[in-house]
Amino acid sequence: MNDETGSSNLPKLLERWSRGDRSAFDALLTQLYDEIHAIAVRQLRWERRLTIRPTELVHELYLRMIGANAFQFQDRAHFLAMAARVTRQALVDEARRSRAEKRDGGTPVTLSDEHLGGLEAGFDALDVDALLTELHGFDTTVADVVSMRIFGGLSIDETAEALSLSVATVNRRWVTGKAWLAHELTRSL
Amino acid sequence: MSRQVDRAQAYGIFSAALELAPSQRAAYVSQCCGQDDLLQQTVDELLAIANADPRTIGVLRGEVEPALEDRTGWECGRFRLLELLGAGGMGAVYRAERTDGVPQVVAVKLLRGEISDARTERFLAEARILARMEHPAIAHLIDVGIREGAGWIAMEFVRGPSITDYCATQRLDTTARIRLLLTIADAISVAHRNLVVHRDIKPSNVLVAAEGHPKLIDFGIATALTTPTDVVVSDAVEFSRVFTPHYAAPEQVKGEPATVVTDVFGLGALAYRLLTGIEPFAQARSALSYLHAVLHQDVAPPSEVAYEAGMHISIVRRLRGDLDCILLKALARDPAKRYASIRDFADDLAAFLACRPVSAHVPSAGYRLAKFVRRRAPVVSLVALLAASVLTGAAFYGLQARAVAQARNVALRRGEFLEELLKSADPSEGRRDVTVAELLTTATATAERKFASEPLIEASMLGVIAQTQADLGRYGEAMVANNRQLDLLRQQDASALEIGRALSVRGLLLRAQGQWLESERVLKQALPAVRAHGSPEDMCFLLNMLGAAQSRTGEEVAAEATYKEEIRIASGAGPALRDQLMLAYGALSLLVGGEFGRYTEAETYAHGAWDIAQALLPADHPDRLIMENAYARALINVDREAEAEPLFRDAANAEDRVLGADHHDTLVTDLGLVEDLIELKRSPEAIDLALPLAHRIDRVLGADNGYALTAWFDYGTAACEMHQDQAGLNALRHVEEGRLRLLPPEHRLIHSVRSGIGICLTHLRRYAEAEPLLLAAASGLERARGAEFRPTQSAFRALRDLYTAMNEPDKAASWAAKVRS
Repeated sequence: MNDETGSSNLPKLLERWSRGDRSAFDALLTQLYDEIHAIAVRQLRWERRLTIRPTELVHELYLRMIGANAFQFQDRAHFLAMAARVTRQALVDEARRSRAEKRDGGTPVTLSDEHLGGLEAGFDALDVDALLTELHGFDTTVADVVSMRIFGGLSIDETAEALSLSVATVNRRWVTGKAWLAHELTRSL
Repeated sequence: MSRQVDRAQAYGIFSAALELAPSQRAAYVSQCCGQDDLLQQTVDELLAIANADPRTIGVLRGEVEPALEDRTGWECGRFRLLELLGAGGMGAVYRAERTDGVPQVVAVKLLRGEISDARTERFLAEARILARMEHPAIAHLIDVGIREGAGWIAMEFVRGPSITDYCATQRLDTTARIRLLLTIADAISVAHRNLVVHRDIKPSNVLVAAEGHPKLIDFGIATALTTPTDVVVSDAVEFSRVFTPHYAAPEQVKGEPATVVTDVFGLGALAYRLLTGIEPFAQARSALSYLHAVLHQDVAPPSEVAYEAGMHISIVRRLRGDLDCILLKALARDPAKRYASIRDFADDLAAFLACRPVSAHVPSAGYRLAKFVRRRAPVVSLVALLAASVLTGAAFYGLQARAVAQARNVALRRGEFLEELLKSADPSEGRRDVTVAELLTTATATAERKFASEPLIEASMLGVIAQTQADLGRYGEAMVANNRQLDLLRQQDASALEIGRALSVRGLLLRAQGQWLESERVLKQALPAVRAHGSPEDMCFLLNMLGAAQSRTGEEVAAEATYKEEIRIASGAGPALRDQLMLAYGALSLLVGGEFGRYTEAETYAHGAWDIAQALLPADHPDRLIMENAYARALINVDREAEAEPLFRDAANAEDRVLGADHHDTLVTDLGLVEDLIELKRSPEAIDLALPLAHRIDRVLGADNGYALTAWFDYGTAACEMHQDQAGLNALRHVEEGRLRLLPPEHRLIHSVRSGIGICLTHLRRYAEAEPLLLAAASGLERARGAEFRPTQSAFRALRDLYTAMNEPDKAASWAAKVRS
């Protein structure tokens, strides 16, 4: 992807979006997707990482956007929520690609994060994605909370803001979802 | 195993159970699960995980992070790992012992990640650098090696709490905390000289061993430097983007190379935490919000943070000014704006402890002067100084009245003069020990030498010096300058107006020294010329001081007329003199309230003054604070004491910050707060404030001073209220003596203090002594100010209580009848 034009477009798109231009939203998602995907690919292939820390991805994305200047977070929580979405998609795509490339299953794209209390281990991104998709069928809110925390590195407060929920509610949903995920993931280990 | 379990059902029961109170969950779950044991087991497991401390969900740790596995029992070189002490982003730390029986306990850090053969050399080379460092405050490196691809480092084992815990349990004061920081700074600079950057300075990496020796641990992620500013990032360990929120510098967060100034930031953050109790950007609770904050926001000034956190005011005061500047410089977002080295940072901290000028300040005339004064003389006020250099620019010399060219010349010369004067005090020029005496001697000498042939300019400079000295509270020296200025003006046949203005300044100086009669005389002398030739502003300035002098010399009625003339002139001059109008209203409020007992009227004036102040002046402006104080006093007198307290506190705090603790205005506001607390019957708090305040005023203004006596009066009154009668009595006797020296014998303030003494004596059951005192005080006060005057009322109450205690109910009732409800 073209790093230069990509980054320079983002501030304009963000600004249009924040002014209520819905058409900018899709363009923004695509753009963010490319950015995140590029970062993830670089980490996995060039830096030969085994484990992706989604928070780091979002941090790096954030830093790139600062680099592209004129970047003001009017609506940081929503931006992060969006970043979480594209991160999840990019990682899943990359994991599928990697798996397809190596017929034997290859190296899984694993997730890890220091800040997720208890969920800091490496888990296959595809497993997590599948579990979250299933969880979405049981309980939309819980799935959204977990997704944002895990793929976007959003704090409890930020998640609450992005989903327009109270902090207490997000806390409860996070405990619920994290326990579910932990249970299901360790069961398969 | 649970393939047969309906996952949706299990989730549903689990999430519903979590919404219940813990005590109700078991019953609910077993009811829902019925006979389905597998379902029951699954839900129980889920609840167990949900209830567990996140850190104990060890099962969740996958296999990709081998360093985090517990390696207790492992042997690394000569050492056997005994116990896991902690784990972090970089690896895990164990307590370990020698395997060869030599009694030695060490800490072994097992690094996360694998070190390939190619990197082994590099890793060992770095270790050798670490081993080179010898400093009592560095936990020294003992051995290093690689086992199964994982690097390990054996270090001195430090027994002791983290520096934050140590400071808290030992209740160390600011000075002691700074001394610890200086030791650590010394250690870090030794590391820097060895081309090692610590990169992770934070409380948990500074332990305090026995006898209070701090030890910096964990140079594990330190990076070897090739030159002091150029870093070769180690690739022995992968640590990109691992950072400690609240301590990591912006460049670390961005993944940029760390340099010596990264440690300046780290030490700055540690200092911030130790001195304020709060971490930088404490509001940023997640790593991402810290990242955002550290890249976009400036650190809040330590004194503000400490104040908001409710730290003791003495700590806040200590932080304000130099320490604020030092820490903010260390924590600058832009590495280039920080101290260039740890040494420079430490030098400033040491300079602060020694009360020498620090380099962190924005160089300003006021600061330099202020610093010397704080060291050598009691009174100082940075803002007053800055204000002085602006004020003196035009206000008192009426430059508009002279030829424009000459005015420009005077202004220019004054600018050069000040600049040259203050240069001699610039710490950056290496002269760190200039005293005030030196500075002002220089000033006077320079003025004489430079302007010998230009006496009017010399007079102007002397005016600057007089003003500056006055603002520093050095009234004696100010008077010397003012005298010479007046001599010069008279010799040179300067205009009557100019002499009148110099006399106005003289009146100000005398007033500030409590020489009210002399002040009044001088001001009256200046009045005709100023009234004839001066601007409305000159006139208001003079009348305001004259009114104040008259209020204090028993000419209260004349004072009221003076203030009202000032109000007339100020109102007539339109918006330009609204500030004078404000001052006049404020003064008039104090006069009619404090002297005449016309409390409602006083509240109206004070309210007016406070309204103007809020509309006209920025929040911290000294005059605005005086009005806030005046309004608060007026509120006490209309029985709105509770509303007054926050105003007093706000004003006192701002004055303390803006003018300094020892400034006249701050002291007066503090006095007001004490009186408010007495009215609010919060005597213990009042005593706590009053006693140090009285001593402070004695020290700053001299003991035979109206303010000092008022402070002792307040202390004595509060002490009696608390039945600390002997202490109270002593204080009040001291006030009585002082007032007898300073005031005419029938002055109401003498009656007031005698009334207080009578109350104390009543408490001490010395009724025979109390009775005549109280009777004389009550009648004297009633004669002077009427029965409704608050001190009169207080004397009436005292007599009621006295006769009640003496068991004379009839007399008690007759005094009780005079007490208004």
